[in-house]
This record gives sequence, structure tokens and C-alpha cells, in this order.
Amino acid sequence: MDAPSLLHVRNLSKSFGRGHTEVRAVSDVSLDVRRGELILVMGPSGSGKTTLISMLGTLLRPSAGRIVLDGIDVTRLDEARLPAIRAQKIGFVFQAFNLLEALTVEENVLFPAQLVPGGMAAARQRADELLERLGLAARRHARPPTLSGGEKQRVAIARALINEPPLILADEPTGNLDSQSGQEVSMILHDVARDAGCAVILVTHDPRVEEIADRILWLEDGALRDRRAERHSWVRCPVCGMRVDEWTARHVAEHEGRRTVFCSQRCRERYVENPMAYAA
Amino acid sequence: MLRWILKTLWLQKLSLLASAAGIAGAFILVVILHAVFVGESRQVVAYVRHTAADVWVMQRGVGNMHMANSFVWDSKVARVAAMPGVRAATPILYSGTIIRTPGRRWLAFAVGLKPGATRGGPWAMAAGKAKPAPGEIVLPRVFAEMAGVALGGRVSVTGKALEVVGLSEGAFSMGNSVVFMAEADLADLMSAHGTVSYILVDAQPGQDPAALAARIERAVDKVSALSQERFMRNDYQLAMQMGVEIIAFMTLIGAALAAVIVAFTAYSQVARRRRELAIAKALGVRNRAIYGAVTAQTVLITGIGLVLALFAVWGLFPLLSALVPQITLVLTGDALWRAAAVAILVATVAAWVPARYVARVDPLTAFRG
Repeated sequence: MDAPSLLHVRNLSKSFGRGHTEVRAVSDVSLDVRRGELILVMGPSGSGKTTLISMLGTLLRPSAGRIVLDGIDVTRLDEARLPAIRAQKIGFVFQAFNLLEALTVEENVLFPAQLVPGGMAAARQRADELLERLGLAARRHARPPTLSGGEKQRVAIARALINEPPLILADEPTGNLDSQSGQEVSMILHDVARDAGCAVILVTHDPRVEEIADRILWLEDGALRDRRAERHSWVRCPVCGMRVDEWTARHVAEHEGRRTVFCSQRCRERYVENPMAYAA
Repeated sequence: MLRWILKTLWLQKLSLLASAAGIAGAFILVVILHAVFVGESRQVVAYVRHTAADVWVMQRGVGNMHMANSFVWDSKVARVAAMPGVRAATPILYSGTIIRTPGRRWLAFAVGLKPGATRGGPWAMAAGKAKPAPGEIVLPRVFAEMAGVALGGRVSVTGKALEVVGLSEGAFSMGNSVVFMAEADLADLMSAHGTVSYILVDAQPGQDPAALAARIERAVDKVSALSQERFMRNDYQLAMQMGVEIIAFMTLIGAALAAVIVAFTAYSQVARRRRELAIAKALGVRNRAIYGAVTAQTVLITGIGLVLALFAVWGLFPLLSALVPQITLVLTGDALWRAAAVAILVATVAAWVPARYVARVDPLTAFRG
């Protein structure tokens, strides 16, 4: 028998504006997510991915539909109760890391713990474990401006996990990272779903992350659709060897009339410096 | 939350210092205005306080000294002196007048002293003699320095030239400077021969001044008699009434200035951290907690401003007294409590200014890269 779903979404819609200016950003989306699942939400820009994840994160009220998270219908809760739901039930990982600059790594990780009653004592030990597990123990007293992009995102993941929420929402977590850091972060999120039993919903453009996903949802024009197969054409990045989708790749260079795609801007720059080094 | 707010403030030390300095400026204004007011009010009663007669006898209906006119026939001095319980009775003449020196005029109150008077003269001397003979005058040292007059110099009082023979200490202020001259000279100037203004009564040991004053009023025709304590209180209350509205208004301006600076600081601190506030809200921080943190931050900045102000005042007072000797500054605990009360009020009110802004910060901003 299937495990009961942690997240139960039915007929979720969100419209902005009214009348002839109305835009339907998310239209009639239904889905179920179980604990331990890692789900990718993909789709072209403007397809409604961020609107969907914002509603799932209780940051945006849907125009219609229901979201039941861990048995609580969050669409029926009043505004004053939602912060507690976010603090206890949801961990956020943002593309721009969104660490609090004045706080150290450790303080950033512990920040959400103070929002949960009686959370601090146990959280300190959990923070130690998370920092150790994510390779940040030596950087616990560092401030965000001194961290690399990969480190910042690992801190953000530790922060998302500190209250042991059942649901992790990650918005383009690899979007600002080089390919190696992006892969690291993807693997951490994969482990979070597998080992911690969290449900992870990951919005991304990054096709490399597909390898770790249990399910992929394709959002187009605000609605979940079947992804067309022809949208993928896998090639290897000539610099680092990572898998890249030729259709969606954003880092492209032309050399001697030949189009080459890359996993990241960093790899593209390396290639442009000396294309002949990667000719083979 | 509080730790985050404090660390963020610390990260922006220059901004914090600038805000606190602005607030300190407003509080310095409040404290100094109060100090001027208290100093000048006390100076109004300086002569009465230092003269320290047990009972003051004056024209019936007069109840104070500052800016008052009192005329009592001098025959009553002997009657008062002869009363049981009276050890001595010293008459003085008293009148407002203008002291002129080349290029300077100053309103002062002249006290005319009888030859051999043992009471009623200057209470502290910087130089020269304390008891002026006819044709002589004792000036406050501060006025003499401002006017460029030294011992042996001459000043004019209502057209009469007098030689400066003494310089007194503590008898100068903006509103109540006291000069001392011979009673005969002042009587000439006032055309008041045969009268005195006040009779300073020394009671015999064990006498109750209030009871003695009441007996004098009953025994001597057409005079009022008040104990030292009551007489001085009347003058002080008069001074307070004259200046209290002004000082209240100036305190209000200082407080309003402080409130504007604190409110602006609180608002700009919040506006600058809009994105971080959005992140905090997305993570589950309630508006209420953010209001609390903003209030704590505002109180902290105001507190730093207040402490800076107190240190600045502590350093400024001797400097101001040296640079502007004509103003008497007195710093009281009351002024500090007043500044602290204004600070708490200002911080609490100002903290509400960014509340609307905080409420409108959209946590969705956290998703926008």
C-alpha cells in the first residue's frame, strides 16, 4: 500500500488581474507528494513555476483549490497562522541563497529554530550535525560575504533543515552555482529526500538535476502537461563533461561555425579562452 | 531576532553612529535648554538665597523681590529692630537700573547699602572691596569683563558716574544681575530719601521666622513680612512662571526634532533591509516579532543617542560656561530624567513609523533573485 501523501494539492489555480487584464499564472494543478520523494518542477520561463512554489510555500494565496500539508489545509488558515506553518513544516532554499548578512553561518542555520517553541536547545546539536554533514564545520563563524556560492547554498540547505520540516521547497538552487557546486547541491538535496525522509520539490531549469529526480513535472502555461520528448537532446559539456540539454542550455558559444553548449558560464568562458584545447 | 537586528546595526556602524549623533544633538538641546532655564531661575533668587535674612519686611502687598518696587518709611526700621525676638534689622534700597559703560548697556538691579551694613552686600568677591562708599559701585566680575571695566574704572548709573571698587562673584545672569552701591547714591537716583525697600531681619536664636514675620505684620503698619523660605519661594515661582512656557515649547521642539530623527532612522534602517525582512518573513517570522525587533532597535539607537548626549553635555557644560559666562547653566537630575522620559516617548512613537512598511514587505520578494 502506498504511503499517505505529505502534500495533497487539488485544482490549484492563481490568477492576477481582472477582466480582460486577467492572467492565469497557475491553472487547475493537482498533485500528491510523498515523504522521501524528490520532485522536479520544470518548464519554460513564465510558465508559473515560481507562482506554484510560492503557493505551496504559503507565501501566496491561491485563487482556487486546496493545499493540504501534513494533514493541515493551509488554504483555510488565516494569515496570522501561516508563519508558524512555514517555520515548522517548510524549509526554503532560494536561488539567491538569501542568507542574513550580519549573521554567521551558524547563526543563519539556527535562525529558523528560534521561531519554533522550545526549538533552540535541540537545534544547537542539530546545527552541529548539519554543519558537519554539509562540510561547513570549519566555516561556522564565517559571515556570508566570505563564502563561495556553493558554501552559501549549503548553509541555506542547513537552515532549511534545522527545524526538520517534512517539506523542502527549492527554487533554482543550482541557478547561481558553477557546475561542480551545482552537482554537489543537487546531491545534497537528493540525500535530504532519501535519508531525512523529506519531500523535496525543486523548481529548476537545470537539466542535470533530472538524474536525481523521482518524478518530473512539466509546467507550461500554468498547467501540468506531459513533457514532449523532443525537448531533450543530451550532449556533454566539452569543458567539464557534464550532461547538458542542447534545447534548454543557456550557455552557448560559436566557434568556426560550430555551435557548442555548456553547463555553466564558467565552462563557457574557459572554452572561449582557448577553443582548440577542447577540439577533441 | 534581536541578535540579528543588533548585529545588522553593528555591521552599519557609521550609519548607527550618525543616527545616534543626530538624536544626541536633539537631546543636548533639550538638556541645555533646561539647564539654562534652571540656572537663570536660580539666579533670580541668588541675592535672596545668599543674603539669608530670617525675615524680609517690605511694603504691604509686595511679596517678592525680583522686578518689584517696595517703599517703606525708614522710621519703621527702628520699630522692627525694637521688636521682641529681633536681633538686627538691616535696611536696603532696591531698584532696577541701567549700567552704562562705553559701548555697553546692561539691565541690573541695584542694592543700596547703608554705611556699616553687616548684611545685604555681595556674598563672594573676586577682587576689591565689598562695601561701596558714596561715589563707588561693586559690579559683577562677569559684567566688568564683558564691558572691559577694571577696578578703578568708571560706569554710569542713570547719569551718575561711579567708580568701580569691587568685583563680585555669582551676582551676574542674563535676567538678574545685582550691583551694589551706597544707599545715599541710590536714594539720590531714585529720589527716595527717607525710604527703604526691604528690611532684612535677623531673628534671635530659637525664634520661628514665620511666627516672627506674622508678629511684625501685626505690629508695624502697612508692611508685609515673610520668612526667608517663603520670600524666596515667591521669587522662584515668579521666575518659573515667566519662563516655563518658553522652556516647555523649546523642550517640545527638541523632542519633536529627536522624534523626527529617530523615526527617519528607524524607517531608513527598515527600508534598507527590505529584502532581508522579506527573507525573514518567508522563513516564518511574524510581523509582530519584526515590530518588536524594530522597536528594540529604535529604543537602542535612542538610548545610544541619549548616552552620547549626556557625555557631550558633561563635556560641554564647562566649555559653555567659559565661552558664554553671561548664561548660568545648572544641570539637575530632573533634566536628565526629563531627557530620558522624552527619549522613551520618542523611541516608542518613532518605532511605529516603519510599522506600516514592515507590514507591507512581501515575503515573495525572497524568491526574486
